[in-house]
Amino acid sequence: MIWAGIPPIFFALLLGVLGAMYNNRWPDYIIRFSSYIIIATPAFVWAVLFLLIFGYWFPILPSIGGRISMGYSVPPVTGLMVLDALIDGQPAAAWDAFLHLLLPSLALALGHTMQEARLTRSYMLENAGKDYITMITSQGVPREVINRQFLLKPSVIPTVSIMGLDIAAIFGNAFLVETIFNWPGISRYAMNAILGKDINAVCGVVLLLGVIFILTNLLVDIVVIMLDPRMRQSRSK
Amino acid sequence: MEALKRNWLKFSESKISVIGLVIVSAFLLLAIFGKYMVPYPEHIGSYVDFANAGLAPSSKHLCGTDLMGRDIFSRIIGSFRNTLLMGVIVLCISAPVGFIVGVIAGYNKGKLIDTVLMRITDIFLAIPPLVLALAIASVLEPNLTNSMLAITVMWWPWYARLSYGVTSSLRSENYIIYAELVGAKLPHIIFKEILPNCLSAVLTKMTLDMGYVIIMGATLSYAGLGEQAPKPALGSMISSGVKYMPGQWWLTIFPAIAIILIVLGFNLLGDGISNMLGTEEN
Repeated sequence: MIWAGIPPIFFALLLGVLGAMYNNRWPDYIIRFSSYIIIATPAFVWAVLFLLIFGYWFPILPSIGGRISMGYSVPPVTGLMVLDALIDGQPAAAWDAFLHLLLPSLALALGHTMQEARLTRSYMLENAGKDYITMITSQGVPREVINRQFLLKPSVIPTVSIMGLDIAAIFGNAFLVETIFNWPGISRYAMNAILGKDINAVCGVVLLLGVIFILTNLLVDIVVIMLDPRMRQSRSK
Repeated sequence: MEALKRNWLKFSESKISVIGLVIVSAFLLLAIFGKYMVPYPEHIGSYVDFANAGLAPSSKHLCGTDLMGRDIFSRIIGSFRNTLLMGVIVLCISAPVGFIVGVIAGYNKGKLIDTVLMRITDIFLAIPPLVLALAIASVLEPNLTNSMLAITVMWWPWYARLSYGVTSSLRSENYIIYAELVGAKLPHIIFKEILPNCLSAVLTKMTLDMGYVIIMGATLSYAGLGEQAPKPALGSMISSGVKYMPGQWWLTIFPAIAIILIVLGFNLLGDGISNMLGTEEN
């Protein structure tokens, strides 16, 4: 479940920066148009579509059943299947566990990735019109250096704080996605508890997820303070 | 009239928000009059015709038939009314409740009531919304009303936060202070002085939220906590079709496309409206 939080961090920024660099040219149009459709699709619909496409029509990825294929035995050390397999020195098992992760995480992450890509793009464009960018452009600093060193960081900061909030939606959507992919996680456990009206179990999961959510947001706030010198200053006052 | 025309020009500048408006109008039309326009109106309720069960899409059944022999196209259109009802009722309850809470807290900024109200809001915001909605809906009887209730309970804090932010920044404006000085009552200040300033922010958020509420409702209905069979709901149509997936793909694909189109329409419209109101402020 937590793995689903990782792809947005990279791809959202990449796509957002691409969209801003090619503003109003074809890569921007493609990213913007596809993002509208991808955001409009609920996570459980992605899970079902992936199951249909990659599970039945083009069976290239393992889609049904758990975290790893039969036949591999990985001794639990950290509890994370991919890491455990690597620690145990079984690259084939690690790859297999990774393939099992791929579809559920993608189903959970796609919508947020595109949402954050759109945010990054609009912040990039907003900052690109500011005076300090005009000034360094007029000084003859190359375009790539401006994008990398001066434009990216201030545009990423608001996106990072949105990512913390999106973790909440990932938790919620995991309830259905884990059930669809038969993934033995806390959300599938909670889903079974919900359907069985096991209220104590439901309360426990809700409380635990609430705590994890708050801790994640604390972490995000710390990251934002590290990234943003203005926030540091207002702290020290 | 002149203002309306200017707004329309601003709105129709971007072709993509006009597409959103077209999709949403078609959806509204079908939600209201769909029952009289579908090819098989009796298929929307409980109806059994095993001779025509599980047919692939054809010219007679545009989206195929389900395992009871009911026309899926008719059932999708038939479910639109509840989908619309879900969005409208949830937003029409949660927006005013959140507004009142946010305004009272923001107006009494720094006092005890501000702390109490906003900390309650924070408690609701601290739990991931869909998790809370699933938990609430699971405790109650599974039906449409209770799934609306579950979504409303987790939706109002966002409006409380929004109107709290606006109100607490307006609090020190001169016209509010003067209104107090001449002895205006609290309802007058809230509805005549503060509400008009919050209105565009709240309305924009409402149109943008419509798509998310519909997704949330479909998710609850997928989990079996929404409208119960035999009445049609987009989420439960998808979940009942998953079991028969590779063979009878039309059971899941067409309701899924319907959800995507509706949400897309509302998102495009919401973006268009927020652009329109945003540029007007500048």
